[in-house]
Amino acid sequence: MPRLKLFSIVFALGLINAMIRPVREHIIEFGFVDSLIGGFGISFIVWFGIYCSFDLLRKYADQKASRNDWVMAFITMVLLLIPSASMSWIALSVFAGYCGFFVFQSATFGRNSCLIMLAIALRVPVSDICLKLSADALLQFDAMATLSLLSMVSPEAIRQGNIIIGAGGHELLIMTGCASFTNISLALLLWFTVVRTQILRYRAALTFYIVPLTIIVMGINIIRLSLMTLSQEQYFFYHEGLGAEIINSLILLVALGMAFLSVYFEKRKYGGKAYVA
Amino acid sequence: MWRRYMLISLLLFIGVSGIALKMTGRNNVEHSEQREIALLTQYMSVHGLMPAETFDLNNEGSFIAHVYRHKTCDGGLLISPMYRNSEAVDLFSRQAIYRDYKMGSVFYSLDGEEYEEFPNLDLWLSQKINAVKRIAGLSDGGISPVFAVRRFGYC
Repeated sequence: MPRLKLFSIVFALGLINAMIRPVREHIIEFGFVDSLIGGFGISFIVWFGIYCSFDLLRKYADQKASRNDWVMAFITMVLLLIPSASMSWIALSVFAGYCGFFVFQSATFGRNSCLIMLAIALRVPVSDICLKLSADALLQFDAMATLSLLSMVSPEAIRQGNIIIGAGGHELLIMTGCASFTNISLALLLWFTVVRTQILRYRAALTFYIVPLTIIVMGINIIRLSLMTLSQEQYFFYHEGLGAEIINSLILLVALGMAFLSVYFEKRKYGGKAYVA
Repeated sequence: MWRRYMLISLLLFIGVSGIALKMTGRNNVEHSEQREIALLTQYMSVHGLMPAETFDLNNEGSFIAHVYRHKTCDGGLLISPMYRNSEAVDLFSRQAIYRDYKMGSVFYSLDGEEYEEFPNLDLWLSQKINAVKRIAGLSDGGISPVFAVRRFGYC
């Protein structure tokens, strides 16, 4: 059997296993059409990453699947039988890691495809662990940064742990869903996806683009949190209204912009050698 | 050729079985909340504490405080289950709804153990161990929360 087909089947089944439960719950809660418009409760960045991964895999010059490929595929499938979404993400990341590091050569479409899949699969369990073990530190940092910014326009604002109390008495509890960490992880995934679809050979210098991207995304989120603290109306506008859409789009544009900048400067520096596009 | 088809069919069968198993699973958090509160109420009643009221800690209602009052004296316990992490600790700790009462310090309880600080690592480990037990059929319980507890009153 061709490798391409085998890997595509395992990736597809792994993704369905990992996402079926949250997708089903989202559809039950919002109805199919609204859920579809909202990406079934899963960020469009993740869907975009999945598309890019499969698209790159399609470009791979196919070979016959080896015995090891079959063994790894079966191990992954057995792990997918465990009724746990986290376990499915881990199983998928193990398989993507195997394909990326042991099957494909470096600077190939296949390796980049698998590395994007690995990033998608690892993001969920890694974020889960980080948010479980260090929620206090991450949320307190966001709250401190928000208060620092807010003090410039509203000096009466105070902080109690991860709660910001605005001048008018309006209170904002910063929860993990609104934490900068969550936005940064998605922005980094988008950056990684775009860079890996455009550049075959990854260079260490590319990593330096992560720093400004992280700072800008964190800054945007802090501004959003500060605005949400000003009043109840502002809170609804920036939490679930048009303001939230604007901020999310801004984060998306920043991540895309940084990714294209990374690609542009790398191409200029190395004269377009070993590039996909 | 037949061997190849058999392998593919087996692979697909296992993968689809995994999906089916996940589709049939119930909402663990929802199930656990009801179960844990029922168990807590049962435990409290043995110790002479009766459920008095519940109130939302935040506007969204994602964090709820349960008030248990002593049968014989003016006081009791304020308890809030926390399933995810420590994000609601400050929200719970600053509760001042019983201004007229003497308030004790906040402590946390997980699987019968008491902690002075929110047990992030222990909660994560406990939830993973419970998940493994549930998968192995060794437990029908749901997700164990950390209970944030605060004494109030004069008992």
